Order: sequence, then structure tokens, then C-alpha cells
Amino acid sequence: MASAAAVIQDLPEPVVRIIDELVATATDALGDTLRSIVLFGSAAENRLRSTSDLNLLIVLSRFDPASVDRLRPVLQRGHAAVRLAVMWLVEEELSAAGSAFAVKFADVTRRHRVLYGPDPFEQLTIPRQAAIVRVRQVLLNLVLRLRASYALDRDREERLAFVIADAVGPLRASAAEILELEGAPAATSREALERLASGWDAARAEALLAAVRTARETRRLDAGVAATMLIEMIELARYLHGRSQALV
Amino acid sequence: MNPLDLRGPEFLVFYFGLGVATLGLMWFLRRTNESDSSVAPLLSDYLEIAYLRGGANEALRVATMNLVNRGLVDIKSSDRLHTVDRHARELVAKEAERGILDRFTVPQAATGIFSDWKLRRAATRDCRPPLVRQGLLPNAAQRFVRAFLLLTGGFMLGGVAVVKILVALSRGRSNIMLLIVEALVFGVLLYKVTHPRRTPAGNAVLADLRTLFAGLRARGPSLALGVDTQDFALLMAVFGMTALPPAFNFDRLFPRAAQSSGCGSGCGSSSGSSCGGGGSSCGGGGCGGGGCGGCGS
Repeated sequence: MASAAAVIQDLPEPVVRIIDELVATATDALGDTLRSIVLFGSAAENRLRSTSDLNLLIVLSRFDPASVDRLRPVLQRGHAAVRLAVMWLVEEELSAAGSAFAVKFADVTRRHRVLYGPDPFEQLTIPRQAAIVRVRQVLLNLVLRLRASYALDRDREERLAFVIADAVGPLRASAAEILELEGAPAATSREALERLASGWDAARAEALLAAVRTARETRRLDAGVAATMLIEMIELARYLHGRSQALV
Repeated sequence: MNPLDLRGPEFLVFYFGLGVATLGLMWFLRRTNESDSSVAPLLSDYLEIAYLRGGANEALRVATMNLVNRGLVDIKSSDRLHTVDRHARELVAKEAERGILDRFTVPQAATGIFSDWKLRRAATRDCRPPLVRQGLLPNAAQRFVRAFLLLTGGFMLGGVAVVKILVALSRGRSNIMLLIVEALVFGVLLYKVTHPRRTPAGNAVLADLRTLFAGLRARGPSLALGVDTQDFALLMAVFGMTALPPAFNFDRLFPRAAQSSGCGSGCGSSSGSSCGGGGSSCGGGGCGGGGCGGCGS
């Protein structure tokens, strides 16, 4: 197994430092309860933006609060410095989590880097049926959530830019999962969304994805743009949901 | 040639050169004494970071704003603060934080914390020992060397000035004011060179924290009042009030600090002392006096 430092050398310097420190502290504090530490999400693809979270998964044999307490200073510093977000999982929960959050874990399986211990996703298989049910659920939930945001915050467009930026993660993961289940996987989740969106409506997709990129980079959209793009995003999510309905 | 025989303007130039050389030598000797090859760990505690950056006053200011943001202290009217619940002190870990909560059980102006010596002492007790242990603030041995360098440099510069003044007076000349002023200025500079609040390691750690948390500063405006309390505490601790998101509207509590930029040592302090935070061996108000005393006046 490569050391954490070697695995993350290409990432921005503050990220490398926080990860190095976390891995070292976790190895010491968690002792033999620590199984694996995995980097996932955009950081695993080295596509971190200033607004991205730095996602880590820590797999344990058991969750010992006293040991975890020792990590708090590093976690707090990491959250402040690079938006570090850690998911804590006990190893026996891995399979159940894979089924319950199939889209999320399929996405993690596709893009992750192992920083410590064995790769917990090597043996993980997500049942096809669970994946189909979950991708439909995620997309429908997204549609409902985006509608609620529109209804509540239509006159506060600065809020809508945040909503759009935050919604693209599950949208991309769902797109990647749909293509996977259709037997035509994309290289990245971003590419998956672009492929499916172009099948929805190429011109509208281009405008929407450009707005999404701006929202993710700056958390701002020009006046009058955010509300329109949010409605477009709802339509795209509905299209993906419809496509997932065809999966068997 | 005896420099004491130089005429007034020439001697002032000579004395200037002597002063600069003395300052350089003292700076070099202090740096050499305080250089530490071991890597200081990153700080996590917001109060210690604030203390390292600006001393006891800054730590108290940041702690107060943090308690307001956590909802444990309420802004009553304009700049008056009030502890929401007497039992809130059980929710905080630091002696200084408990002291602030106790102080505001009776509503009063926020800036009163700076003149409360018990609070300042509590902040110093909370923060100074770990910072000294990590080599970020000078320890007793380093403070002794600093004092020795100050006295040595002071005797050198002050001695030469006094002898020249005596020679000038004995020759019937009375235009000695410029030399006295020059000696006083070098005295103050000598104090600053030999007694910076932090060690070089302390400066390096602070610079490191500013780099590490540059992203936090950039997303400061998106922090939510009362929600991102840990991020807020670190933002305030590392960058001071100038990094405060406008939405927080805490400027009215400490208007002087909010106006100053950079917020270094003791900025905006109501006590008026910029070195009284316990960070130097001179204690409060000793900055100018120490330097002048060393000039042999």
C-alpha cells in the first residue's frame, strides 16, 4: 500500500497538509480500530474547487467515542481550512450502507483513493435492484427539494446560486449511475451528466451546465439567471428520473 | 581619529551608523538565540491563536465575539452585552471564557473586558504557557537574553551619546538636542528589535496559519451567524475583526478594532497598551521606558 503522502501529492498544498495530519493522528488515536481511510468525491479526481468539500471516509472496526475525541482538533481545523467532511462507518455497516445509499456509494466506488489500509470497496457489490430504487429516490427527492427551494427563495437569488451549486453533486452521481446501469458507463460523473443532458435538450443543457459551473466556482449568478436555471435544473432532474424509470 | 572630536552634523551621521549597526547586531543575536530547528505543530485552539497574534486583549475580544456567536452572550443594546444564562459557563472550557460570561451577567459595554485585569490574567493563564512550551512566545531564558541585549545595546548607544554630550558641553557647545532625540529614537527601536512579542517560530506559525486558512477567509461572507461557530472562531482568531463578515454586525462592539486593518498586536485595545498582553517580559506600558532607560539618561 502506498503512503498517504504519495497518493495525494497532486492535490493543493493545504489539502495535502490536512490529510497528512488527519491520517497520522487517526492512525495514532484510533489504533487497531482503524481499518481504512478513503478520499472520495471531487478531491479524488483532483477537481476540488474553493467551494468543494473535502470528503473522507473512515472505516472502523468499532466507533470508540474516546478515541474519536482525540481527532477533534484536526477535524475542526480541517473543516475550517479546507471544508473537511468525514463519514464514519463501522466495517460491518459497509454492505448495508452500499445498498441503502447506492448512488452515493457507487459514486465513491468509482472515484476514490485509499489513504490508509485495504480498499473497502474492493469487495463491495451494490445490488442492481437497490441501485435502481435508490437512483429513482435520489432524483425524485432532488426534484422535490429544488421545487421547495424555488418556492421559498425565488426572491433571494443569491441563495438559489448556492442551491444550484449544491444540487449538481447528486445530479452527477445519479447520471453516472444511470449510465452504469444502462451498460454504457462514463469516465467521470461530470461526463455522465453532460451526456445525459445533451440527450435531454442540447441547447438548454449547455446553458444550464455553464450556469452550474459558474455557481460552483463563484457561488453567484447574474441577476435573473438563478431562478431560470433552477427551473431548468428541476426539468433535467425530472428527465433523469424518467430515464431511471426505464431501468429494469 | 577620535569620533568624539567630530563636529555636530558629522557626529550625528556617525551616531546614526553606530545605531543601525547596533540594531542589526542585536537583531541577529536575538534571532540566533531564538532560532529553533524543530517544527512547531499547527495550533488548533482559537484562543491560543488569537493570543499569539495579538496578546491578551485580542484573545478576550475574539473570545467575546465567539460567545456572542454561540448565543451564550446576547447583544442587549448598541454595544452592551448580557450573558444569556448563568449556566452557560458550564458549556465553555476556558477560564477566560467563563470570566467573560461571569462579567456580563450584569449588562455592560463590551470594551470593559480590556480594563478587567482578572480577565486579562485568565486569558494569559489559558494561552501563554502552551505557547511558550511550543517556542512560539519567548521563555524565561530567552526573555533574560532579550533583557541582556537591550541593556548591552542601550549602554553602548546611550554611553556614546552621554560622553559626546559631556564633551560638547565641556567645549561650550549647547546644540545637543538633535543627538538626544536621535539617541531616544534608537532607544525605542532597540527595544522593538530586542523585544518583539513573538519568537521567529511564533511568526512562522502565524504566517502558516494565514496561508492554511486563506480559503476560510475567502468564504467568510458565507458563514452563517450562530451556525458555523467553530469556523467563525478560527476566522476571528487568525485574521481578526477585519475578516468579519459584514452580516455579523459586531463592529459596534469593538469599533476601534473594526476600523484598524491587519489587527496586529493589541490593536483597538481600550487599555491603550500595545505590549501589555503578557507577551513580553516588560509587562504593560514598559515599551518606551525600557528603551529609554537603557540609553543611560
